[in-house]
Amino acid sequence: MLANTLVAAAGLFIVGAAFSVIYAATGVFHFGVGAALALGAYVAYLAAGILHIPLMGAIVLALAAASACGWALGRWLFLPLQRRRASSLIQMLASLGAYIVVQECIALFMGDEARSLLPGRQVSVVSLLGARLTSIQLGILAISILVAGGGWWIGRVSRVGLVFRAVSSDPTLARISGINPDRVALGCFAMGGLLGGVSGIMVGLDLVITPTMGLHALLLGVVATLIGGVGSLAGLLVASLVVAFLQQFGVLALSSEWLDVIVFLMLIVIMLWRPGGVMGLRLRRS
Amino acid sequence: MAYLLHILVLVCIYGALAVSLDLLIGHLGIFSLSHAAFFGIGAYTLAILTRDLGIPTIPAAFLAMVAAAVVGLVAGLPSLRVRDDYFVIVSFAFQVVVFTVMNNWTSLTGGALGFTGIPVPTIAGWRVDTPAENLLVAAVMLGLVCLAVQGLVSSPFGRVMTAVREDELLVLATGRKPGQVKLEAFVVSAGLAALAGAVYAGYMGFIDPTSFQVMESVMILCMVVIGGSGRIAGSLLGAVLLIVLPELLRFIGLPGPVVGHVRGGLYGLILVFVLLVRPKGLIGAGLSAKSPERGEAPA
Amino acid sequence: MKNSRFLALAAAAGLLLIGGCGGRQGDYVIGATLPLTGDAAQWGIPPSRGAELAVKQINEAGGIHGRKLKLVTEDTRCHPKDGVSAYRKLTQSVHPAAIVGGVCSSVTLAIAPLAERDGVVLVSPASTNPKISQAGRFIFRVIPSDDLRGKAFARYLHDQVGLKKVAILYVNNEGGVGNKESFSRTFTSLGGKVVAAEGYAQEATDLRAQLTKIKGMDCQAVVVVSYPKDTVLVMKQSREIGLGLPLYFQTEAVEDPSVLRDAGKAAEGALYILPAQASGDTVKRFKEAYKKAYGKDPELFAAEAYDAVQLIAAAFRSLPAKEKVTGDPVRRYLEGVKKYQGASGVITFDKNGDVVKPMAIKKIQNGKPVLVTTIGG
Repeated sequence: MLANTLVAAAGLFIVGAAFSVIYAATGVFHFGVGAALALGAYVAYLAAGILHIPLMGAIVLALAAASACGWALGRWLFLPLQRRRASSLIQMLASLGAYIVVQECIALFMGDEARSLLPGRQVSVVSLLGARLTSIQLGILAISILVAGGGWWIGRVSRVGLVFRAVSSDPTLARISGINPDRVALGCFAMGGLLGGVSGIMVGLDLVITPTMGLHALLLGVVATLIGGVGSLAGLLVASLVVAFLQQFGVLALSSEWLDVIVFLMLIVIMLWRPGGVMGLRLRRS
Repeated sequence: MAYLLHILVLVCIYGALAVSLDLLIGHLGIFSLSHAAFFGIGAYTLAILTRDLGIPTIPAAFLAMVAAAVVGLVAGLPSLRVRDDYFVIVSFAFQVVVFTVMNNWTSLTGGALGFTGIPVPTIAGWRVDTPAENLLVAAVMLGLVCLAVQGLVSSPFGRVMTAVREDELLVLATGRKPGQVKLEAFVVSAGLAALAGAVYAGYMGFIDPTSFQVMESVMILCMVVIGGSGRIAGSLLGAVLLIVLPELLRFIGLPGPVVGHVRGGLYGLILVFVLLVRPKGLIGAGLSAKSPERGEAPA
Repeated sequence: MKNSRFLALAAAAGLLLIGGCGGRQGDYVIGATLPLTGDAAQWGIPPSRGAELAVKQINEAGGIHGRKLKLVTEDTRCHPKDGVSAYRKLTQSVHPAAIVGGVCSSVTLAIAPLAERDGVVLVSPASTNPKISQAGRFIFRVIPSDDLRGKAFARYLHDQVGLKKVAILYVNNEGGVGNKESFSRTFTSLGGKVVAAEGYAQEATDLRAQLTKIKGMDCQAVVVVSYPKDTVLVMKQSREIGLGLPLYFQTEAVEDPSVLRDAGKAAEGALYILPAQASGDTVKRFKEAYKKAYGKDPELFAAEAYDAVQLIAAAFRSLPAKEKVTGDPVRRYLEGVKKYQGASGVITFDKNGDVVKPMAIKKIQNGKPVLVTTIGG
C-alpha cells in the first residue's frame, strides 16, 4: 500500500511539475499539458507497437513530439493571446479548446479503445522491504527523483533558473536587462510539454492509454500543485504524497465510490484555509 | 412540430442557465465550472419533492431554488479567498463533489440508474403536458430569469458588482463589502440555475447524473464565452448556437464515428478561434480589459 | 436581445422546413434512435449496421406486402435530452410505428414515457438497465436485463462453484451498478455474503488501491463488473499486487479482442458470464452477410438490432396490407413472440417486454474462450 502511494505520488509529481513550470513562468493555466501527455503516450505507442522501433527510441521520439507540442501551443496560441492582453481566464479556456482538438484528433486516428504500451507482456515483480513493485514502477520512482533533483538544481543553482525567475518576477525588467521573455516563456512551454510526455509514457507503461487520459491525469496533478502552492517544488512533492496517500488509504476507510470526494473536498478546504497553497508563495495581488 | 418545440424548450432552459451564469462571468469576472451542479440540484430537488413527497410543482420548484441557493452560498465561499484560475479549479472540485453525491446517494437520487417517473408538472390545476404547454412554461421561466438578471444588473447592486470586478479595494474603500456582493450573486445565480433544472426535470420526466456532469458545466460556460459575456443577448445567442448547431448537423450528411470526433474537434477549434479573434465573444460586452501581469500570483 | 430572438426564430423556421420531408408514400417505416457520435458511438454504429442489413435483406426479398421497408436513423449522442430530440424528430417527420433503440439506458428511459404515450413501440438492442422492465407496455428489448445476468451468475457461483463470501469490484456507472445490485441481492438471498462492493470511476486506470483493500478482506473470490479497459487492468494489477483470489467476471468484456491481446497471460483462467451465443442457420447467415457488407465480424449489439428489425418487420407482415400501421398491433404481435430463432439467439419476451435468453459461462484457456456450461433458456 505504501509502495502504491509512492508510485502514485511520483506520477502526480511529474504532471504537477509539468503544469507548474508553465504556470509559474507564464501565468498560463495550461490544459495543453494534458494534450502533450496523451500525444507523448500515443507517439510512443505508434513507434513501438506499430513501427517496431525499439522502446528506447520510441520514447525519445515521443518526448520530442510532446515538447514540440508544448512549444507550438505556446508559439501560436499563447504569445498571440498575451499580445492581445487576453485575460488569464480567456487563455485558460483557449488552452482547453486546444486540448480538445488534440484529444479528438488522437481519437480520430487511433480509435477510442484503451491500448497498452506493453501488450500481453508480464512485468517482473520485485519484492522490496515487504512491498511488491513492478520493475516499471521502480523506474517511475527513479525518474521522478531525477526530475525533482533536476528541478531543484535548475531552479536554485543554474543560470537558466536565474533567468527563469527573473522573467517570472518581472518581465519588463528582464527585457531591459537583455533577456527575451518570449524565448524564455517558449522554453518553459517546451519544458512543460516534455514533462507531460514523460508522465504520459510512464502511465502508458504502467497502466493503459486512452485518448482522454490527458485531462484526467492533468487535473489531479493540478490539484496537487494548488494544494502544495504554485512555484514551490517542495510543496508539490508533499502535496503529491498527501493526495496519493488519501487516494490509496481513503479506500480503506470508506467505499471507493466516494474517492473523488475526499481529494476534491480537501482542495476546497485548503483553498479556504490557505489560498496560496500549503507552501506557496505568499504574494498577494493588490 | 413536437420536435421543433422540444428544441425551443431546450433553448429556453439552456438560455436561462447561460444567462444566470453570466451574472458571475460577465458582471463579477468569476469563471465557475459548477453551474451544471446547481442545474442538477434543482432538477433532483423537484423530482424528489414531487414524486416521493407529493409536493405540488410550484412550491417544489421554489424549494428547489432555495436548496440550490443554500448550496450556492457554500460554493461561493472560496471566491472570497481565491480568484481567477484558482477559483475555476475549486468550482470544478465542487462540481465533482456534487456529481458524486448524485451518483452515489442511491436511496435519495436513484444513483447511477437514474430517477424515473417524475410526475407531470401541475400549475394551479393545469397539467403541463403537451410540448407546446411545456414551451410556454420554459419561455416564461426564461423571461423571469432574464428579468431577474436584468433587474439586478441595472440596480445599484449591479454597479457594485461591476466595481467589484474592476477593483475590490475601491469597493472596500466606499464602505461596501465585496465578499457579500459576491456571495449574493452566487446565491442568485445558483437559484436561477435550479429553476431551469426544475423545469428540465418536470419536462423530461426522467433524469440521471450524467446529464449534470462537468462537461455540461463546460458547455454552459462556452455558451456564455462564445456568445459574449456581460450581456443577456450574448448568453442567449451562445445558448441558441450551441443547442441549434448540433441539431442542424442532423440534416447534413451521414453521421458516423469519424464525424463525432470531427465535430468534437471542431468545437475546440471554434472556441480557440473565437477567443483569438473576438476575445469578448460574438456580441459580448466583454470582461474587463485588465490583464494580470505575468508572474503575479493570483492568490 | 431582439437580435438573438430573431436568430432563434430563423433557425427554428429553418429546422421546420427541412424537417418536413419524410419517407416516400407507401413505404413501411422503422425508426432508429442510436448514439452515432460522441464517446458512445462505438456502441451505436454496430447496431445501426445490423439494422441496415436487415432492411436491405427484407427489401431484396421483395419487401413487405410488396412495399419497401425504410429505416430512418437519428443520433442520440447518448444524452437524454438529445435522445428526446431524436425521438421527436422521428415521430414528427416519418411517424414510425416502431423504433429500434436506444442504446444508452438513460436515453431509453427518457424516451420510454413519450413512446408509451404516443403508442410507438420501442425495441432496444442494447439497454440493460433493470428499470427498463417497468418502463411500459410498448417498451421491449432484445438484450437481457442486467438483472437476469446478475441473478444467473450469483446462483452459479453460489450453487455450482460453492462460494460463500465474495467481494465485488464494479465500474460505478449505470451498467455497473445494475449488475452489482442484482448480483448482491441474489447472492445474499441464497445465504452468501458480499463482504465489500467497491465502485471505481469509469475513467479510472489505477485499481491497485481497491484490489489491495480486497486482498486484506476475508473472502473467497472477487466478482468483477467491468469494461474491456478495466478488465485488462484488473487482470494485470491483481497479479502485480499478489491478490491470490480467483476473479469472476460478470461481463462479456473478457472476450473483447483488446483484452486477450493486452492482458496476455494474466487473462488465463478468467471465468465469465455472458448471454449464450446463438447457433444455427440464422446466425451463420447473419454473420456471413454482415462480413460481406461491412468487411468484419459482427460487433457488439449488431445482431440484436438486426433481430429487432426482423421482428418488427414480421409484425408488419402479420397485419393486413392496409395503408397505415400503428404501434398497438405491433406491440400485441411482439408480446406473442415465442422461441424466435434470431441472429442474437432464441428470443421470447416476458410480460415486461424483456427478453429471456440462456446465459453461458465461459473460461479463458490457452488464450481462447472455452464454453463451461449454459444456464437457463
